[in-house]
Order: sequence, then structure tokens, then C-alpha cells
Amino acid sequence: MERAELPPQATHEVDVLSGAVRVALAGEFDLATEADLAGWLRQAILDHPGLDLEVDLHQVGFIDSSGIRGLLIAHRFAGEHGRAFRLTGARGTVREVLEIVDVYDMLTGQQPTSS
Amino acid sequence: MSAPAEPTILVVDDRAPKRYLLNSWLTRAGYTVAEAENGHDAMEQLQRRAFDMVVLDVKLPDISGLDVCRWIKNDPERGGTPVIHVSAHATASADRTIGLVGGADAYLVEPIDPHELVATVQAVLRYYQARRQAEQLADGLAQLADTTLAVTMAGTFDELLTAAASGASQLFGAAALVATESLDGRWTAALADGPVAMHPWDPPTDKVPIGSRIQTGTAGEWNLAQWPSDATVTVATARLRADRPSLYVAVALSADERETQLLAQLTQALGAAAEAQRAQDSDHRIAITLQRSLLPRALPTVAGIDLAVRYEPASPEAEIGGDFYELSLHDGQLLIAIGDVVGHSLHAATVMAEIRYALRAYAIEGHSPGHIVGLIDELMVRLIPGELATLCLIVLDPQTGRARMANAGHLPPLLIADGTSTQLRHRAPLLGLNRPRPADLEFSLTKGSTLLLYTDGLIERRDCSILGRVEELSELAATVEPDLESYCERLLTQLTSPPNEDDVAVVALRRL
Repeated sequence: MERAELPPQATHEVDVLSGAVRVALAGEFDLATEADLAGWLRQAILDHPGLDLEVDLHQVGFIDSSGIRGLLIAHRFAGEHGRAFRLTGARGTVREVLEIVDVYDMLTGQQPTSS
Repeated sequence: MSAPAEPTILVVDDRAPKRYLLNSWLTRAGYTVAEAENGHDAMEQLQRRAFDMVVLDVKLPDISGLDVCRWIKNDPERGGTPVIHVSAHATASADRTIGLVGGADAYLVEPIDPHELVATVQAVLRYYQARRQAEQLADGLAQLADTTLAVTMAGTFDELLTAAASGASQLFGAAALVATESLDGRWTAALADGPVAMHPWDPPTDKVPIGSRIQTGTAGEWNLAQWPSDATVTVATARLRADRPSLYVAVALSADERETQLLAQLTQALGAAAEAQRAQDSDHRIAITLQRSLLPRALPTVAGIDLAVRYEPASPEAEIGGDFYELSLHDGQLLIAIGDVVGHSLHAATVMAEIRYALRAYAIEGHSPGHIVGLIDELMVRLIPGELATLCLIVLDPQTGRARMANAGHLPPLLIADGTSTQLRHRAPLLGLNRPRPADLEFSLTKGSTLLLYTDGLIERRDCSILGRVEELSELAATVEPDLESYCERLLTQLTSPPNEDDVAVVALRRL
């Protein structure tokens, strides 16, 4: 219908690298897509036992606090399953937002994952 | 819609005496008859105008009647015209079969009995009329379903009325008006006569019965301003319950039985959709009222400090947010806080209330900002795990202007002194993660300088860099009006364009 102006769709692609499973995200992540995001990342961890999780954001144009919560949920889930979580490719406003709430270093693995 | 005229039948035969006979039999039976001498003549006449039926000789001098029939049936505009074949020769059943397979609706063989001809014409026309009615009904129901979907998808009352009026107008091929009362007690009508126009409307004063009702009248009687014609108006009303407002649908036609039925169905569906919209608006209003009740009821009066706060709700279509602020005096120290709970819902508002009360409780105990933030962080991880919030907390001594600040993932406050604004950057993780925190930031609020705290609703735009927007705010905020209320108002006007997608909270404070 005319009024359903959907935001750019949020999508993901899963690739297996050596030692890690990479989930490449694309689009915009907010309240509407938070559950999808957390679900995809969780599934990637469960489907690839023994592999670390790499989350590639270079095709993500927007993320808000709900999207960040999706990443943090996956980060904790990876930790609970003994896997490393590594964020890559965050750029522009996505990186700015991650830095403002000060989780960029933690998610990119530049800080120890537990305090 | 006008009453159907007598059916018009085209008789096609190359023999004049037979045309004369067929014509007189059909005329006597009440039909209007036109004649064609051959296949081309028939096709020309059929292209000029529509007929309700064609009585077609199989054997024509120029083209076979069977081919003319096939041409009629394959033509998208004329395909629905019934055809009765007449044949002069005693025909084998195979010939009759070919005629019927070619699309003819009946096949009569000479000698033709006039009664049989008329009975056959009546039977075929009856069948076609029933089929047309069924098709019209199916079209009507499909359009009804489209309109119902469009009104259900509407986000606001005005959108709902617009979709309803334009759907009704399309459904009946006439001007249509839909009117009802919104939650705030206003009566609005949407008139669709081409484009849709909205205007206030005074409903008739008579009591509307529960259920649905169909009446006719004139535009004047129904108080229909700008109505396109003086002709009859059919007005349907739907009222779901005695304590609920009714909904009116007026269409510029005198409805037949089928249209009356469709109008009643449409009106009931629209009445239900309007009721759902009112319920949704009411839920939103309750949520906002509750959320507001969780925010400070009054601002403290502090000697030597001027304060202003603005809280703009998100648009009614958006869910309520979790923005909050706090301003209170504890042992002569002014506690200033602003924050935003992640998520949009009443739940976020309740988390906001928990954080705000914890904040006040720890402040009363006299802790430093960083210590308070750390305690709240730990409280959240233990008691409401999974919730996240940003918070910026400042404790100010109004006497000396000495201030200590602890941030937790919130946007940097601005300090405006001597026409220059500075972002107070203090990077620390948001609440709910229980991560290590840096030491507090200490600064001084000199006399005449201003502090501005805000939530992301003021600056966030999907197509802009967030740091760029903070810069923009920083420039606009460098000039401070003598009246802080006007200052906040200007910033909101310059930076946001309602309806807002998100809540906006702004706190401004000046040391006199």
C-alpha cells in the first residue's frame, strides 16, 4: 500500500571463514529489526559450534540504541558459549553511535569481554 | 444508477422477410430491435454501440455467422454479449455443436416457433443478468475488502476518514462523505468528490439506533456542505454501542437493493475501524499520561539558578519513549540528570521510573555522580537484566558553580559561556552492562553561563552524522535567550520537525 514506506530492509549473509563464522549485516537496525538481528546472530553461533562470531557492519547505514541492544545480546550469548565476538566494518554514523554509548571497543574486541 | 432500459437486440439476417418476422416477434415481446443485413454490417453496428443480445443467422453472404460469433466472444468489450444462432437449414447436431462451441448461447433451427424464440431470448438474458449481478457483487465485495484494509492500515483518524471516503466513492461511483467523532470529541467529515477534503461537521441531532440504519434524503437535510448535487442522498449509519459515537456514510445516489446491502456492510466495517482507532488513540493517551506521571511533577526553586525543561512526546503513531530527566536539591546540591531507556513502550517508561527513583535514593545518601551511576548500573544488572539506558548525571553546587559530571553513554551536554559552546565529553559505557567507569569530569559553571542537556530525539536523523548534528546543535545553542523557555523553544523549532519520531527532552540551566 502507498503509506507503507518501508525503511531499507535489514538483511544478513552468513559465511564460514577459517575459525570464525561471519555474519554480514546490511540495512538499518532499530526497534523494528532488533529481534531479527539478535536471532540471526544467535542462530549463527548455534549453527557453527566451535567457531567465533564476526559481525560485519560495513553495509549498515544506521543503527539506533535498539540495534545496539541486539548486538550486545549476541555479544553476551557468544561469551556464554565460550566464543569470541568481533565487530568489524562499523563506519560513519554507525561507528559514532557505538562510540557515544562506549561499546565500540568492547564489541570490536579491543577490551577484554568481561569485567 | 439509472434503471435499465428495455433490452436492445440486434437481428442479423440477409433475408429481409425473415428479419421482418424476427423483428416483429421480438418487438411484440417488449424488446427494442435493430437490424443488420450481413456480417460486416453487424460488426460495424456492434462497434458503434453495445447490444444486450445478438440474434445471428449462421449462413450470411459475406462472413460465416459462426465467425461473427467468435469475433464477438473474443472481443474484450463485447465478449459479454449473448448470441443466439438461427439457422435456415435443417442442421445436423454436429453443426449445432460447432455453433455452441464457438461461443453461442443457444441455437434455433427453422422453422422457428415465435414462442420458443422469445422464451429462449428471455432465458439467455435472465442468465446474463444474473451473471452480471454476481460479477458486480464480486467487484463490490473486492472493493469493500480493499477499503476495509486501507482504513485498518490508517495510522491516524484523518487518514482513516480519507481512505474511507475515497473507498466509498470508488465503490459506488459517486461522491461520498464519511463522518465520525474522534477521541477528542471533534466531528470531522471527509468528502470524496474526486480528491478528498476534510471539514468539521455537525451530526444530525436525532438519536441513532444501535446497529446500522439506511435512510435517504437531500443534501440540505443531512447538513452536507459542498455536496455536488441536489439529487437524492443515501445515508447509512453504524453505531456499535450506546456509549460510542456513530459513523455516517453518505453517497450521492439512490441505492438499489445491491448497493444498499453493500453500503450497510461498508458502514459497519468503517464503524468498527473507527472504533479500533479510537481505542488505539485512547491507549496511547493513557500511556502518555502514565509516563508523564513518572517524570518530576515540579521544578525545584534554586536561588541563583534559572531552569527550563521541555518534554515533547513522539507523534501519536509512535510508541512512547523512555526519555527522562531529574532536577532536585539534596543538601544544597542540585542534582541534574537526563537519560533515555532503550526501547519504546510503556515498559521502557517503567524502567525509566525505576532508574529515576534509584537515582534520587542514592543522591540522598550523598554519593558522587560516578558512584551513583555505578550503583544504578549494578542495580540494573541484578534486578532488571537485559535493560539498557543512557544517563548523564551532574551534581552542581549553586553557590560556587563547581560541578561534577558522570556520563553513561549519553550525548555530551553543552556548556555555553561567553557566547561559546563546549561539548562536555565524558565517554563511558551505557547502563546495564556493569563495565568499568572512568573518573568523574569536573568543571565550573561560571556566573551567566548555561548548561544544556538533551536526548537524541532533538538531533537524531537517519540521514545525518550524529556528531555532525551535535555540532549543529552546539552552534545554534551558543546564543542563549534571556528567557530560557524561549531558548528551548527555539532549539526545538530549529532542530525538529513535528510529528517527532521519538520523544525529545531538553533541560536548560543558567547560573545567575
